[in-house]
Amino acid sequence: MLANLIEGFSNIFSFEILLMILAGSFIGYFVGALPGLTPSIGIAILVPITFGMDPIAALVLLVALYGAAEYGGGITAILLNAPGTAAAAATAWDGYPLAQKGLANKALTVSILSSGIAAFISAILLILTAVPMAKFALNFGPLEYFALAIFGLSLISILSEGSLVKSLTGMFFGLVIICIGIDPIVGVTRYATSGNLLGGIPFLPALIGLFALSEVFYMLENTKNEKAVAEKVKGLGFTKEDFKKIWKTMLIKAPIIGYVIGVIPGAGATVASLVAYSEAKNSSKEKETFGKGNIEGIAAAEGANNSAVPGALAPMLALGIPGSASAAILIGALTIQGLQAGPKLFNETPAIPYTLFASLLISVPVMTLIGLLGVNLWVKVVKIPKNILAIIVSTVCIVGSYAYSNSMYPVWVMLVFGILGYFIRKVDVPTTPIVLSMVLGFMIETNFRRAMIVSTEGYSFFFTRPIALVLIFLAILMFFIPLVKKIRAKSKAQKESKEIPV
Amino acid sequence: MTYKLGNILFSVTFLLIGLYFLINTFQIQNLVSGNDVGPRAFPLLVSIGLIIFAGINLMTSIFNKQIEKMEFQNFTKVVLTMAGLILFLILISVLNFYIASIIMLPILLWINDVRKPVRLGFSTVITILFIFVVFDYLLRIPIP
Repeated sequence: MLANLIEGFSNIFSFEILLMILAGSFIGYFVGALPGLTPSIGIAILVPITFGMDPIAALVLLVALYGAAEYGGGITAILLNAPGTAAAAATAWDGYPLAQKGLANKALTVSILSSGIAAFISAILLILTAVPMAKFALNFGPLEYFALAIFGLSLISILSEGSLVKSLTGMFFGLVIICIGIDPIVGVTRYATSGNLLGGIPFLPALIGLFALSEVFYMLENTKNEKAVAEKVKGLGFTKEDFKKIWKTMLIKAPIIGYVIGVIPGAGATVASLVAYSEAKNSSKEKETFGKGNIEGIAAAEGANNSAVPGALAPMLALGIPGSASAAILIGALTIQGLQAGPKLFNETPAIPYTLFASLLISVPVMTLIGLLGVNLWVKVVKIPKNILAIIVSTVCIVGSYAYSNSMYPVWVMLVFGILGYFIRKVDVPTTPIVLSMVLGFMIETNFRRAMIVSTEGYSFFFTRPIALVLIFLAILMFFIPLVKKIRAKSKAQKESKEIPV
Repeated sequence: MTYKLGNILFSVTFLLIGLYFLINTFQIQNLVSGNDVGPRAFPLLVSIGLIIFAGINLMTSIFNKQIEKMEFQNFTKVVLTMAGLILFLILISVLNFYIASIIMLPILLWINDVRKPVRLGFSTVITILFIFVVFDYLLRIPIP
């Protein structure tokens, strides 16, 4: 492992890779600071740019963007009470009140330092855990991969907000869509006889449409927003006393909570920041100051949401399971480069994951430095008129989709999915289940059929493989636990409403 | 449009998509060897799944008493932008990206309230320059 990591470090000290780290961090801050643009949208917009790049450079660029975008959301949360990402909502609870007291510099320094330090520790945890995880997954056969993909799909019940029926409708729609084209095992055509459809519906243009273009239409709905007003920030405002107050949260609690929750597919940065915030509040001697500008609250929320990023990369790299929308897009980006996320990545092309690990250890300090130096610049980003930004983003979507196969077919696919995404979001149908099922559907069908072909005893073959059985059991559990929780919460709310005297 | 009607439209659309795929599933040549379930099984299963859940959503929407309206702000602009993008793609196919951009970007910006000529021209030039420098020149990605 150490030799591979040293090789990874030697790979990143080239002009191209260092440039990618810088570019990814800058674009990430830009994306994160803009309310409405999430890290997943940012990655989706940038993926087409990476088509012609070296795989390592492409992945480093996208991961640097992912990390910086998660942090960028915290800046506007503190200065404008407008979290750029959902995960930064908890940052605003204490960050904005502190900024209102004229201590915006202190709030920003705490958030940037805790983000950077926690993400760095989390990156070390990723290096220590992803490799054993991938080694374990090397024992997997088609049946285990099938079970793993089913487990990934079961996360839809956690990842989707709102109606589960709508999420499942979206999921089955995604699964139907991937059946178009040529059957992966025997080569029979399905739903297409000629033309572009024979190649199937391209995943990445569909994803760019669902995430980025549909967001463009949403941006155009609210183009006359009030202009953001933010004060100029001077100095760091961070003292030794502040460090003494938050060091435990910054160095121990937030990184561990963030990493562990990040590893759990489906949980992600938002859950991590909320859990870390409530833990910091519960264990604090000054509970009453939380929500009024307590720096420990900022350190917990920002530290955890940034350390969830390396956490989310662990199942993606080691098992090939996307635990979040951003990870699903990163898997798509790897596929475009001819690489398959999962244990094979460590076995066949170890340079890729190890260079990524090394790049995290470099990009996190770079991101922290850029964050500390460029606060006033990120605030100006919010002032770009949304209508102009929307048209620029839609043009980038067109060019990016064309680059997928140098033809107009993927561009039309992107446009159709963009319009579809806009309308289905209007009726609260989440787009994440469609993307997850498009990523995992192929894996499910191919591995199930491969497993059936090699089995001699038919379906009873499933009961002879313990790993597959455990994964399917976990999938059932993952699927039903949120459902039971929702039903319980609903009945509890109904009971409470009955108890309130009229 | 009410939220209820929107939900019904969504369910009916996805129900029809499911039915279309289900009917066409039976035209797939089912080559089966050994214990393989064949190329028809998975599409059959997922199209039935789509019909079932779109159907459940349709039923719950019909019996839902929600009367709240769906929020469509600046809907005319959004629809005009969608139409503009379709025209943009047609023009790219007929002409090329740069000429189509010179024609369509000012129109799209104008639809979305960018009316000052200087701002309109500046935004168009900046967008085209950005695409040229980043995609065409730096990354050598083919432009339509």
